Amino acid sequence: MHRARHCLAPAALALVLAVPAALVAPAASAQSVRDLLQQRVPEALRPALALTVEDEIRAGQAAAANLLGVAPLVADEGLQRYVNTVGRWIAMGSERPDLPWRFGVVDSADVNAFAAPGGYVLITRGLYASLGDEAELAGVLGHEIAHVVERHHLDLMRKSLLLEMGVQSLQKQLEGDREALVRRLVGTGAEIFARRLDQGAEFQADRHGMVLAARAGYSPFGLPAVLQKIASVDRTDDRVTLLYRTHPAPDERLRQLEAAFGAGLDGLDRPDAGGKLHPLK
Amino acid sequence: MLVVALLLPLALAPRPAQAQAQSQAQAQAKSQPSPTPGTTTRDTELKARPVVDAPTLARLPAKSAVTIVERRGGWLGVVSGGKRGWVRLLHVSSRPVGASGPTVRELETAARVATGRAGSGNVAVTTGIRGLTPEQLRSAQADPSALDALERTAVEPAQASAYAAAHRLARRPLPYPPAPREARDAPR
Repeated sequence: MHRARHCLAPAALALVLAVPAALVAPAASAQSVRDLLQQRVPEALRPALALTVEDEIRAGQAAAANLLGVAPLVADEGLQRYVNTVGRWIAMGSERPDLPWRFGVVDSADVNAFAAPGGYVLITRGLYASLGDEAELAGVLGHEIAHVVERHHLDLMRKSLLLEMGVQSLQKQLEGDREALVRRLVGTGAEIFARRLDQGAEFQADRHGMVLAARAGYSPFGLPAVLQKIASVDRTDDRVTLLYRTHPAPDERLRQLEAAFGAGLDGLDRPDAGGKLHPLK
Repeated sequence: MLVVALLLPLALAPRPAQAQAQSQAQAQAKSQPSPTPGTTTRDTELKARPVVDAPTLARLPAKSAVTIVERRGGWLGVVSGGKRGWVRLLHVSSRPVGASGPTVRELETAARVATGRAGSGNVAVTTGIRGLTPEQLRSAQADPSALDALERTAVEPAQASAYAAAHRLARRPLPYPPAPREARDAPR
């Protein structure tokens, strides 16, 4: 049984990689390949693809450094320290409080925020400028922190590498040079931030983001308020193009949040909690 | 311009049914959106005040048009069918200015004239640089010195806790909810 499962995935992988047809198990239909592509990394293969937290942090660091090459940090240490303070406090209430959490505002008009593995969270100036209060910042950071806690992007990197290399050579790589492994995980430039997670992961990050903000003492409704602002922007505006490309539409995200929480957050509003948003210069 | 933009929604909006202390209104002014068209995503109630047990002014069926003029926590101050009231934030989706009623158009036109915004709601208009593209991201070259800057402004747990204590941010236990079996309304 174990052996059979172990063999099926490489067969499907081979098909994806257009390896000669003789290598492809006849049972591997187009449907099963599609299933494989849509799944997260199959449970049976996880031990073979074990990454350490150090690998994860180094991959996140590299991805963040690449993103900062396109969108540099806003040159305002007060602002950066402020976002780190709020972000750190929220992350401390998550299931991974001990990661080396780093937050930053990057200089781009794009309306977006990014999470890289290991605790690197970057929000654009364009999104920050649209925030109305600290609870909204908490909601946005909560969503990104949830991606890190759930290892959504790390899983996506790992799955891509698995598809690219196949199981055997990836296993060999894992026994060898870790730096090369991290480089391959990150891929080209900051491409990881242009890729779409499966929408279940986004809906989960929304739910968890609201909860993380509430755990930190904020009103949980900052995140949906931001989603409403985004929904009010014409989607042909190129400042939201990347966001729409990589995320489900905001009105669908709002619908999912309503379906998940209903009236379950009544009584958690805290209008007086939190400080003032640090102003943009 | 910023000040005008922030004050405008309050100037345009009918007075809340219950005028709260002015200082509170001022504290919240900055979180208020400019008037934005919205649609109810499910059957909901227009309440007189932003609390669950407030009197119900009207029942709004799903897909009712509303104009969002204010937010307070989990509630949105809206105008619907000429009535000013409050609906649950999670029952409303906003949309860009477009096929909407005359009230919305009126409010939006006023907002546009007064603030110079392109009528797109709350995301401020900027000039020059625009969105990020996948091509830009793929061709990104690392900036290692930026990582040093990121390290320099890192905040340790003790500092974050001190900030929280100074700003009434009390830790609360709250579990994650499960994924909903299905959204109430299937996506169109």
